[in-house]
Amino acid sequence: MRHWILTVLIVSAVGCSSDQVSTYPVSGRVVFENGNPVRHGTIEFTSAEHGTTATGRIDHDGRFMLGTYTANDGAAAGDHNAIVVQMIVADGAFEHTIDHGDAVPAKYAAYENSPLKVSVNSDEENVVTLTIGQ
Amino acid sequence: MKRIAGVHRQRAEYRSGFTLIEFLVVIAIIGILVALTLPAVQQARSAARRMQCANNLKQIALAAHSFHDTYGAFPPARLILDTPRTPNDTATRIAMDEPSWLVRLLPFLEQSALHERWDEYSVYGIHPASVRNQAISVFLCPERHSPMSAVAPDKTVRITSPCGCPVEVQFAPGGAVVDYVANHGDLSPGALGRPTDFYWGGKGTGVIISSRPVGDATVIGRDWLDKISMSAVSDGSSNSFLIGEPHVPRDKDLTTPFNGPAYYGRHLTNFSRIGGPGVPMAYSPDDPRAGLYSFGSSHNGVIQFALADGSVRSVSTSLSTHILGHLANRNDAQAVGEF
Repeated sequence: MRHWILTVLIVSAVGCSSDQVSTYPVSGRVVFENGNPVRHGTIEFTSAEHGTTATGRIDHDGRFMLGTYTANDGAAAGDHNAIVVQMIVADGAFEHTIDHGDAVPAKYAAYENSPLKVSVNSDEENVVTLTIGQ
Repeated sequence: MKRIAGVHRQRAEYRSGFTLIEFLVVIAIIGILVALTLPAVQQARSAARRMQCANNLKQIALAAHSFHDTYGAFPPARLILDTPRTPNDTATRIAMDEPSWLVRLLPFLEQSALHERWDEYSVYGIHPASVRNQAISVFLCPERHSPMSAVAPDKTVRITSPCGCPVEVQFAPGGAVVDYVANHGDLSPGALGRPTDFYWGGKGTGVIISSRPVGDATVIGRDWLDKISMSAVSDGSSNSFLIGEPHVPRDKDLTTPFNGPAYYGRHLTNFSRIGGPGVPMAYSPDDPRAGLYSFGSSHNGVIQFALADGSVRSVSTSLSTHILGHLANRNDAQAVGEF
């Protein structure tokens, strides 16, 4: 009986240890070539090895922190492709009062076109600066 | 004498009842029992609420199917033209003041009486408050709202014109909110090549999308273009979301554009959401990664979705945004396996 309970406990513990990959803190800044920060948008990394996606919101100074499963838990180690998405719909439907700064070109919003590539290191704190070109 | 004293002592012991220690032990045991059972009771209550939430989702999905049977297509999320208005053009109506998809479903949810008081092709704001404020319990998830707490109030919005001219005051009509939103697709760029293309008529890649009205820019006809039928869901109806739950930050409850009047077609995010790369699901109302357009949850780490085949699924919020995008997009030729 005791062995049986033990077996059940071990099996359920193994069942709970999910298939989530280890993540490492990633923070940084997104700037244009002229040094101005990207002032609004979302940045996302996709791990080439695991396929996991880590997302972060870009603040008014271009800074971001990535999260894969929760906020700010970082990204998987290894090489990543990255996108920067800005969604600004200014059509009179929204009462726009915020200055969004310069616009990120649309090609950065799709993995097929985005030239951004980043490597995430498991040994140290990752602080990256991404530069948005034309 | 000795005997009398004995009797006296016995009676005194009998009357003494519980000692303080015994009493405290009993209280402590009761306390422990309550502490053990209370979380279980809470859990059972929240599980029941979540099941009710899923039931409502199923009802709405079935209503959307009934709508499809009647009209040959899923309802349009709202009416809107396919291009933005040019800055100084005030004459063109871009047609987004009409009611949203939820109003079109009312007759299929046993709300015909309410539906008769709506006109799907006239401006939302001209409908009386008693119609606009009518919250329907099937549109509400018990974890988020009850019909009594699901009405966003009328608002007066002040806008300063760019020229610094006198302040323009605009009346923003209130109305009932909903806790279920249309799957409007992902960010795949349309003809304009921008990630915001989905916003315009016929450009959404979801199943219930913004559609162009028939007629021209000044007269709105009583039908719509860009009809999404079951055959247009070419990824397969079990591989595409139909309806989901919205991300609403805690301080944005009953507030446009996160959770405002949902029968009003003007603010897309009051009644629909998108998902995919760049638009992750929110694991909780406090998720700082999620934005205005994200699906989100009031449950713990899962979001409930109705697929286009009418089934209801709980989807983990840790799903990669690529798979999320394949599920949100109805025709990206990406069938998703187990998710």
